[in-house]
Amino acid sequence: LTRRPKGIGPVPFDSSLREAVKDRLTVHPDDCAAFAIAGRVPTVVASPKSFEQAAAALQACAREGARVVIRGQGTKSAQPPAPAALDVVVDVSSVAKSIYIRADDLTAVASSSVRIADLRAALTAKERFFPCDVPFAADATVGGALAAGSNGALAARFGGLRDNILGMRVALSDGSRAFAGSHVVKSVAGFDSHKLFIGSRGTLGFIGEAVLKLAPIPPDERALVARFADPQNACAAALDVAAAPVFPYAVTLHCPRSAQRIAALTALTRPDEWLAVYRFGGLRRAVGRAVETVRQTCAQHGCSATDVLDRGGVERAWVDIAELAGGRMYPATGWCAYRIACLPSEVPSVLAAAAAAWPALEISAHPTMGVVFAHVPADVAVDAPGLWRSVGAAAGSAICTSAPPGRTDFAMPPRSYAPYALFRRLKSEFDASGTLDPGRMLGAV
Amino acid sequence: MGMCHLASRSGDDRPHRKWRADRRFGRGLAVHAGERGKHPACADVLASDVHLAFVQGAPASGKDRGGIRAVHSAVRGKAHFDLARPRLGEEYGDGEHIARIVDILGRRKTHFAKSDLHDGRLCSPPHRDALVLEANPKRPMDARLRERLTAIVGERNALWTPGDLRSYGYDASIERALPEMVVLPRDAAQTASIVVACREAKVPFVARGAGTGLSGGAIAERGGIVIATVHLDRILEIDERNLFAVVEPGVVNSVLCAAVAGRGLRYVPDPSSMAACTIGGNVAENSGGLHCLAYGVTANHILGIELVTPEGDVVWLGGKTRENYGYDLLGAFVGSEGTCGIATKICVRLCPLPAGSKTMLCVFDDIDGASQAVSDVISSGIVPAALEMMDKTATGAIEEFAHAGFPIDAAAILIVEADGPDDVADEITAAVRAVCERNGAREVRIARDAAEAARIWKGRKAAFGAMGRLSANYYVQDGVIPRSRLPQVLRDVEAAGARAGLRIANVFHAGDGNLHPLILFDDRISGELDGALRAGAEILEACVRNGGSITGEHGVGLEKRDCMPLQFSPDDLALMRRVRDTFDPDGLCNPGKVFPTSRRCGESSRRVDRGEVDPAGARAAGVAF
Repeated sequence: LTRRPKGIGPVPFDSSLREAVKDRLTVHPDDCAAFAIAGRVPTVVASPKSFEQAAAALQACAREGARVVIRGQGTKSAQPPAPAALDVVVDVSSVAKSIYIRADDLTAVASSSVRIADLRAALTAKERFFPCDVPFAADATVGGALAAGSNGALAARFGGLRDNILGMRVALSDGSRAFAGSHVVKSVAGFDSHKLFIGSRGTLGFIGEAVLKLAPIPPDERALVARFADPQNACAAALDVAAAPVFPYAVTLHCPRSAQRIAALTALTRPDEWLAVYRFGGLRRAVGRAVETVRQTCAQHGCSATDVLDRGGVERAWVDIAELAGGRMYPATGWCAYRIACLPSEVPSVLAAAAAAWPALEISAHPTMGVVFAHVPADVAVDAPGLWRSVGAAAGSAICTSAPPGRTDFAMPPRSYAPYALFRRLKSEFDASGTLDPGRMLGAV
Repeated sequence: MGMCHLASRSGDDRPHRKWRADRRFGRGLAVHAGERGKHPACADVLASDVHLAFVQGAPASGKDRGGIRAVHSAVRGKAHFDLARPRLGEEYGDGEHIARIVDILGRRKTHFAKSDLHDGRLCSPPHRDALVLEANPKRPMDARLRERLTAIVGERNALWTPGDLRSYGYDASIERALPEMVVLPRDAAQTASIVVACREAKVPFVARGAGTGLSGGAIAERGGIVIATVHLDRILEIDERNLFAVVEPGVVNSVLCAAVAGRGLRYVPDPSSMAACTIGGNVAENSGGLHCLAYGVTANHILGIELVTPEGDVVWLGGKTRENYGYDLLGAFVGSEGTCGIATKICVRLCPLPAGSKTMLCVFDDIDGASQAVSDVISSGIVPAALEMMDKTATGAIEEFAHAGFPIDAAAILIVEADGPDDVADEITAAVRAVCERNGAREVRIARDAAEAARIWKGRKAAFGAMGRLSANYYVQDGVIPRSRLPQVLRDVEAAGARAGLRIANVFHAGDGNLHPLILFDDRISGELDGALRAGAEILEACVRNGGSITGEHGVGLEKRDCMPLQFSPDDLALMRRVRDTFDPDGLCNPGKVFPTSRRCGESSRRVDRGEVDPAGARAAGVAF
């Protein structure tokens, strides 16, 4: 296909792809331009309507060596690194949508094209929720969220996506289709192959549907909002809370500029104060006791004021808080975004290093998890290696999750000690043709 | 034994395809049986000691039929013949060559079996016209390898006398097989050197912790080297601020728990064998425990692992931080039953100890009521720390033995633990009480003090041991079901026992839907062992039929590998095989585990026909038989 830039040609590849998706091909360059990724315009966009069609489309592309990007709603397609080459976009947003909820068993099966927002609405009607908050929730699909693998603040209590996905139906580039995992909350039968697809960015295969582990909507839910003049004190308080048996659902920390983006908390923000948000859920008395315990802990660490949000307040605030972790609040046209992982005790030094590097940045953190989200305005010169050196003392890593198209100064060096040889072998086992989003993963995988 | 590659019938001799065939069969051989007369290497291959052959292939043309019929007749009567397709002779072959091979193998009293590879389920089409020979695990130990391994670990840490090996020939399952040598490395460097030596000698190796596994995961079924983690038993770091610890794989679970308890912390996964089992074994099996209902299983508590890969490289999967980038190899490694490498350091997540806890006993006169109460508790949003269930058969035996205060006339009891300070725990127990009473509980009792709570839990933990009062042997199953299906599946369990003419006691993690039916039998009575295995298989079928899993925490290992097709299609298994091949392209790391052989779930031939069951010895092991 790359040798036929003017569009679709005759046999054999075009006919097999056309047959795979029952003629649902877009070939006009203007139409394909809407699916461009990091400036690369696909030659063909295939729009399967079913899991089987998607598998057949991947197989057709693999046979011809056409480089494929699988795309849901495209909310995260632009995240760097960009694909090394692009021939075909397989747009899976039209794949049949289904949600099957087993409320009593706290599980659900959702097809990958279901939007997170629709999933949440369906679960709420059954008094359940999926305890992972993902960015771009209004538009993102289940499959896209899993492929991107971005964990939100709720991971503090419920674990990340890998802990809440019980199974998955996947299709590989050779057309094979398989189920991995199970439909129950506990199983050790066979390998947890499905976990490999979480965060794989579409480089291993297409996630057709996922089995989700649900949590019941708790009888009571509240959040404590604490204001700190000094983020170091806020972090110290958060670490003390993590070591106490109060088990918050989530703990987030926001710089003054970042906090002002949380519409529900506008009245509580001050221009010179950081906001720490502790979210709790459970039985009424347990929540009340936890809120009081944390209030006292924050007071001991010099917080200037605290407020308590009720369930409605928590829900309103969380719409924005989830997006502060690299979501719609910071579009790639205007921001470079970094996700920095470190030990929880090193969050203060990472905050200080980032602030020193870029005074204009906006920063949020999940301090008990050791994750910092730094957002730098795109018009600021980025010194990625400098930041890397600053946070390199910490035992973690940093990746750029968003950057304006064409910017090349944002890239963080990959961790030298990651098992890249195993990554590459995994990639070749799952995608022997190498056609699925080549170059997407760090380490030249 | 060397590898042999010959052109296939289709003429497809592209290197990568040959290579894949090799890797897929591990130590075995993939001899493409096409192109008659062009197999000069066959004789060399066959001169080696071979114990297992898989014949597989695409439909053959008429001229091959005579040859493949010769295969059929050559095999029959000379060795155990278990090729499942009765019309094999008309379907497969490049007969002449296969016949020649089979003839030689037959004279060597080779053991033949149909493989799951036979119908191509685990094999992609290019390999279908192959004869696969698997190296004999019973060949003599290579003296040079023994010397090399001894030089790595020192004489005191290299064991090969029959007496020494016998201790490593069993675990807590019914499986038995002696390794050829046992080595006890002291660090990752020694472990890596051992693995490299094994790999170069093409000898399989099996990592072993305390040998408490219930599915034969640490049994060296194909001989080779057992790498025991006895000396890898140091707690290297406890970081209270960041809530993690770094330990070596031989650290005993309860030792780690004791080490962190004084700091107000705990390592949550608490399998019943925690007093003996090791963290490395827990990682391999993805162990659960009483408290994983609220806090998760081992996979949820592992941050990183230093791994010696099956190729002898030392790498880290994950680390000390909560997030790591790239493919989640750590997630795939935990629970891979030692088939993907050997962990030499493990970074575990620690949690604060709860501020307190309360234990309650809920008594029911009918088992459906108890089952429904479990389902209602979970679905109501209450998450107790533990939620266990036992039926009348179990409580009767336990009470005689442990005096836990269980009512022996009740159809079922629930044991519930609520974590938190007194007022919070009271709130949880009140909510559970309301649900139980709504479902017909005749009594709900809350332990008045720690001593009474300890007595109740002692009774629960004594359940397996108490079965000795009811029967000479028991066979413990480990299936999982959606919690809402508990009433139905418990009836299925009872029916399976009735069909086999055996009693079944139920003691299980009800909150997770993780059943542990204990099938009671007497191995001295002819047919009861087979009946127990049959009932076990039926129970697993019921679990899968109801949307569940064949194992919740004991693992697949050898015990359940032939039950895998109940739950997974050939394509699903092929996906797992790709994961295995990623880590272990040579197939030397704990071979024979997880993936099915030719037999059906519950078939006893492997154990009984080959005389591997030693009920007396197994009883001494104290768990299954």
